[in-house]
Amino acid sequence: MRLSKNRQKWIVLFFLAALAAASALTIFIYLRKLSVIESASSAQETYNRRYAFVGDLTKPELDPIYKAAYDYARQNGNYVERTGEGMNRTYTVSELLNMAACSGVDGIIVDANDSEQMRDAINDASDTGIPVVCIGTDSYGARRTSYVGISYYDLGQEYGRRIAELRTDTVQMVMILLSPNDRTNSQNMVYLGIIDYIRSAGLSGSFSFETYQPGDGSAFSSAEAVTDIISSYSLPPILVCLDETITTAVCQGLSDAGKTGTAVLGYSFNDTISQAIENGTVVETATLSAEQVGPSAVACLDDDIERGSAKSSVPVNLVVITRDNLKDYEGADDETQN
Amino acid sequence: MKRRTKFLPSLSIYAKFALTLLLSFSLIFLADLALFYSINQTLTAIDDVYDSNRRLNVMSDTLSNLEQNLTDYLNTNSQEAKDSYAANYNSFSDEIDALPSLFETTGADLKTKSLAADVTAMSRSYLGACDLTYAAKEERNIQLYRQYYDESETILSYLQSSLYALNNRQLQSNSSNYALFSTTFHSLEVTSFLILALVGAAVVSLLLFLTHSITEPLQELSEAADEVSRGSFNLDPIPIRSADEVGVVTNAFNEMVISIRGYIQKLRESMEHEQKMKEETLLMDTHLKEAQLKYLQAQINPHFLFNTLNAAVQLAMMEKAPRTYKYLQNVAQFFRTKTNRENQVTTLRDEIALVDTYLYIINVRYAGAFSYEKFLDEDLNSVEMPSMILQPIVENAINHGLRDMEGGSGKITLSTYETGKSITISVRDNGKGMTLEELEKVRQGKVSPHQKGDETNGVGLANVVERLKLFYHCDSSDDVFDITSAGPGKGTEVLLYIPADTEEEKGTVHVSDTDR
Repeated sequence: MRLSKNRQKWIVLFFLAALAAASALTIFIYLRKLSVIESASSAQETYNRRYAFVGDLTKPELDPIYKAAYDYARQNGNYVERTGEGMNRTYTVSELLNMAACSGVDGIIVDANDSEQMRDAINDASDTGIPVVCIGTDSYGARRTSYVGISYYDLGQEYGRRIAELRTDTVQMVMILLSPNDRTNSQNMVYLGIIDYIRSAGLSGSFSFETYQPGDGSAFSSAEAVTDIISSYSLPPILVCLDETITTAVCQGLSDAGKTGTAVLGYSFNDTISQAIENGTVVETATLSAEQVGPSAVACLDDDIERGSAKSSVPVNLVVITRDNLKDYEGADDETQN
Repeated sequence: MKRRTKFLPSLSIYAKFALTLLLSFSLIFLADLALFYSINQTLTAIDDVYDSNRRLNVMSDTLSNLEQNLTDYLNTNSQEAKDSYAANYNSFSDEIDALPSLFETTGADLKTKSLAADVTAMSRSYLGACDLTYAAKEERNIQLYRQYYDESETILSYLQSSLYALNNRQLQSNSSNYALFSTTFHSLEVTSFLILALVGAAVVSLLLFLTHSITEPLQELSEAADEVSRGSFNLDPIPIRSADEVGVVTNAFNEMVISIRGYIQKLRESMEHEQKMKEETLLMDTHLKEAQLKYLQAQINPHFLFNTLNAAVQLAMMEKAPRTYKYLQNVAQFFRTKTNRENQVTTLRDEIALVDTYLYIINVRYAGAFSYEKFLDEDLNSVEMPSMILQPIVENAINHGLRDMEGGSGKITLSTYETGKSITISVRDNGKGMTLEELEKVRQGKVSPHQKGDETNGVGLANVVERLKLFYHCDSSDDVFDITSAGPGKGTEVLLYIPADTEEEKGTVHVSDTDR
């Protein structure tokens, strides 16, 4: 089919016009895309106050607490940074606290301990006008603003109650695995809580207690020590683990060794522990309520800055997870990890 | 017929080429410009991606130099270290002041901004510690500046770690942005290739279209010229698509073909007219020769008869027989006239004289049986006319109208007169007349006395009428001839019409020079 001359001309003109429009549109879309990339990378986020969350970066149980604190702070337009994260060397918690004070934050949340260095660092920060809130463990005698956490004695009482339930006709040995990184009195308070509960229950003759600190606190030493315990010892019928690392290592070691017959009372909650609760290795695990600790700590800082005063101590609930209520907490660990 | 397109209607070929090339060049140039702009924007963005890392590295270097200068100064009291310390101190101060704006403009996330705030605060703390150290050094209080120096080293450690964290985080963010820009840049490569390919196709199409728009009229013109060269001029005009040089040539070609076709038509008409004239002349000659031939056949050697008659005239004169003498003299005159009428054209006077001689002979033959009367307009005697016209008419009247009448009662009346634009010659007899049917047949030439086997000298009425028509260029017999009769027994009148006024025509009445 032969097109008329006039139609040919219009086709050529239309082609040229379409080409120009397509080229212009393509370039426009490209530049727009470029602009979107640049603007996406420059999303303007701001904060009113900047708080520092100071704690041992190797303690995973602090992660959900930090996450909860972060979310709560953002709701009020504030920001919580994790001091020491992404750095090329490892600092102690006291050093991280000094670093946070040096970085001019508006407030500090610290997973404190009862050491002298911690006390000095808290006092230095407080002297520069930075409010400090301790979580988990209180630093006795330090000029901190508030303390948010459970009572370790109460935790010991909870463990004692559970141990009492596990009693048999024979005397059972209870091994308490202490955290080598905890230099505070907290573990003593837990131990005291257990003993007091058993004694008050009149079961002192049913149990014998032994404490053991796996590893020397250096990296990976706890896991190796736990493996040695599981493979070499005649395992006690009841194991009480006082930190997440040890609890997780015990759960994994028992599973790998295929050993049963030992009831484990753990601390903290993660997938491995959840699996161990599911198969009955772990009788129960106790943990802090991250949803309570993080926001409460931030709220204390807000109160101190905004009103000039905050509660000296804010108690939070102890969460006990067993096979009965496991379903309620499954998935919660994933969320906190995110 | 001119038909022009609306696209570049009145541009020359040069202008069309120039315009097309300009358009093509502009198209390519604009495409290149747009692509260049896009590439430049991308490269600028990519260049800016790692700018924050570069500045943090500079800051880190300055910090290291500052610390080194301070240590050197504390160790050596060196003026050079002191000066370098001052220079690096100022540089580091400027870099600290610019740090917040760097992360505001690059739009860092909250964590990066927080790290930047840490670095800023630590840097100022470090500079404050340096100031204290420097001041204590100036005071030479070694214990104090050692204490401040230790504090500054602690802060420096925090600061360097924070700088590292900030730089590392920024590097991750920038790497992510770089990957995005890089992907976008690769898509630009593909886009550029497609656009350039499309632009190339458009330019080629444009040039092909232009070339086609120029060569197609030339091709049509070439085909038309080829047809004309083979002798065919019946062409439709070539459509004129533009007013450029090709359009002008096409228009001239169309007009040339029309002109040549007109000339050929005129030439053909002229030749046809000339051919018709020749055919008419030839036909008239044929009729005359036919009449002459018939006369010759009838005369049995008229010259011999004429000489014989002259001898008889002389004999009658010697024997003193006047009536015989006159008779023979008239007969001789009649044949002489007949013999001399070789020319086609004669005068009315000669034709009438021939009729006079003929009637004298006939009356001698039939003992004066026919009377003869003439009513002539003398002014018309000199009118030229074809020869051998009147005598055959009169002979017809005698043979068919008067011969059977009682002796002495037959009468011939000859009249000439002018009527309007023609001259009328009337030959009337009082013989037996004709019916209307007979008259109509004679008018249509279907019946003539000659065909009936009459006894005339052989020149029939049809021959007379045909010669008059040819001589005066008349299409119809009615223009030169008519025959009327009041009915049987009431005589017959033959009317001949001779045109009297058109000078140019051959049939125009001519007056003989000899008669003037």
